[in-house]
Amino acid sequence: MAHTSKRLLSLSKRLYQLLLGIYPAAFRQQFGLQMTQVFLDCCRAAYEKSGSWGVLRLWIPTLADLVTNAIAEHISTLMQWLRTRTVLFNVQGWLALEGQGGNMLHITNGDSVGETLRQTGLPGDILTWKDILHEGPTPEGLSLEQMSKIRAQFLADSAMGPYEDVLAEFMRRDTMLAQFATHKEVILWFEHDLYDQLQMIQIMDWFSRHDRGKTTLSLICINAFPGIANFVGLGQLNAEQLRSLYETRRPLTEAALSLGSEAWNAYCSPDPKALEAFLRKDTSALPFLKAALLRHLEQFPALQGGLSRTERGILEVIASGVHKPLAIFRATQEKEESPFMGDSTVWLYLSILSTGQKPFLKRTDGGAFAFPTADPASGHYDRAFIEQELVLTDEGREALAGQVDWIRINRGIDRWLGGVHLQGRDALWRWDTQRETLVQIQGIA
Amino acid sequence: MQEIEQKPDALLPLTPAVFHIMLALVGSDRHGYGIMQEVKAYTDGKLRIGPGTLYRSIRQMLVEGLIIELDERPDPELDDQRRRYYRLTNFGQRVLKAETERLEHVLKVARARQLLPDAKAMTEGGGH
Repeated sequence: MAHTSKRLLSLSKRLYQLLLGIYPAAFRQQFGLQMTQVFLDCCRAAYEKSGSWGVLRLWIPTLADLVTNAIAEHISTLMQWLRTRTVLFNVQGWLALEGQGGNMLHITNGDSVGETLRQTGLPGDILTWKDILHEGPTPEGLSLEQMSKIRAQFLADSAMGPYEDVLAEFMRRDTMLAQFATHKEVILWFEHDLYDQLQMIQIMDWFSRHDRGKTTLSLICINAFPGIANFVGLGQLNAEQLRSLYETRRPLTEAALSLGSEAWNAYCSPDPKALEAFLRKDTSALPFLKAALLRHLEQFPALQGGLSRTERGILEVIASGVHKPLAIFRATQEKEESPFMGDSTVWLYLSILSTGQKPFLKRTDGGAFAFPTADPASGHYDRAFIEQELVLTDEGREALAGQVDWIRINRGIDRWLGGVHLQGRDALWRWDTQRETLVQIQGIA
Repeated sequence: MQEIEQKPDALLPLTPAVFHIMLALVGSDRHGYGIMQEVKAYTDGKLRIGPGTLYRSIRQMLVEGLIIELDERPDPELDDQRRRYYRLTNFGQRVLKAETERLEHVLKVARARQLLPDAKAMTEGGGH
């Protein structure tokens, strides 16, 4: 019996795997293994209940399920293709868009730009990446799925939403990306700052490891826009301005894609020297990458004082007489050549600096910085949050004067910067602001 | 992670497969086969979801943020590590509740038109 059972199950499995070939490749790659696993479970249950006859009988609904869903999946793919041709009955418009590659996937940095992209009238689907990759762990060697779970945990731990909601958002994003092959063209819309450049290279790394078939990749990446004196990002542009960039897109060359992938792997390396080594290369194929990644290196604790550039900037702003959170946020952004940090991230830094054994900041009433209690997605802050005032502690003033070290005075650090986990009191990587290089510190007392 | 607020009603009505998969996930994380077994059990075997329908629905639900895939397995020692477990999200629960309320309303209409016996009468008079 065991022999018959094994043979029948093995035969059924092989046949099922063969029949999975009628599904679109993207779906099969994503769920083929799981479908086979579930089918085998059903086979075993059918065999236990009714023997070989039970397995044979199971094949009838299974075949129907396979065929109907494969057809439905192909129709769904076709509908998606048609949906992107919203001007199907406008012959002139259709021809124009067909010439421009109407079936497109637009990938950009966040909901604000995504919403403006919708208003441009450009056809296609819009995918917003939405991850503050400059904060928290991005360990090396992970699949996108594994990375998303780690990122979701970090963001949830950083008061940026419940874990399940954040992860659901990432899974929705990743599932949509996995279906890129249903599009004729994928366009990456990013700006020059660290926030965008990290998203861009993470996506480039993903594409470099996937067969792109007939789908082409294009890039729109800018650091300036005509008529905008202080260009900060794509979010400043209206629909018409954004639409004008569409014509400027350039095919993403293999060399640029490979460079982006190399940059992402260097960023995720546990050895930060890998990133410095990468920056010594010619990175001109992605012209804004070098400045952005150098800015990342400035987030390492400084050799003198142990503060990152952002932390020092916050202390300097408060020392100059700016005390309320929103004003602190604005002032710190003005200190950046290419502002990349959102308000929620600045609140994280304020919280870090006002907690620990020896805080460098405190509220005027003596407490630690209080996060906003209103839903940040609403764009409104509660009054208590807005009105709180932050001042430097004695240690904060000493830190600015170079008299104390943030890590030493707080007995260590536990922070991820890309793939580098700065942990404990020894073997820390520090940024030498004078020589503009990373140095390894041994045995902090 | 600021995002545009989704409205549960925008996803209604759910397909029967999506509705039952979500119902099977209420209060318990399950893998694909576990979902099939649960649906089969509570419908007394009247509804069976095949692997194709199951994973097409799961893909749609992942895209819509109704469920997430879990890293950890509730019973790792007894389970095949290749299995993937799914959990209903908070948004998924809101959508499921909205769909159940919609169906409840349909049921009320059917009862009012005497297509079905009145629920109160059934309770009090054993359905007579």
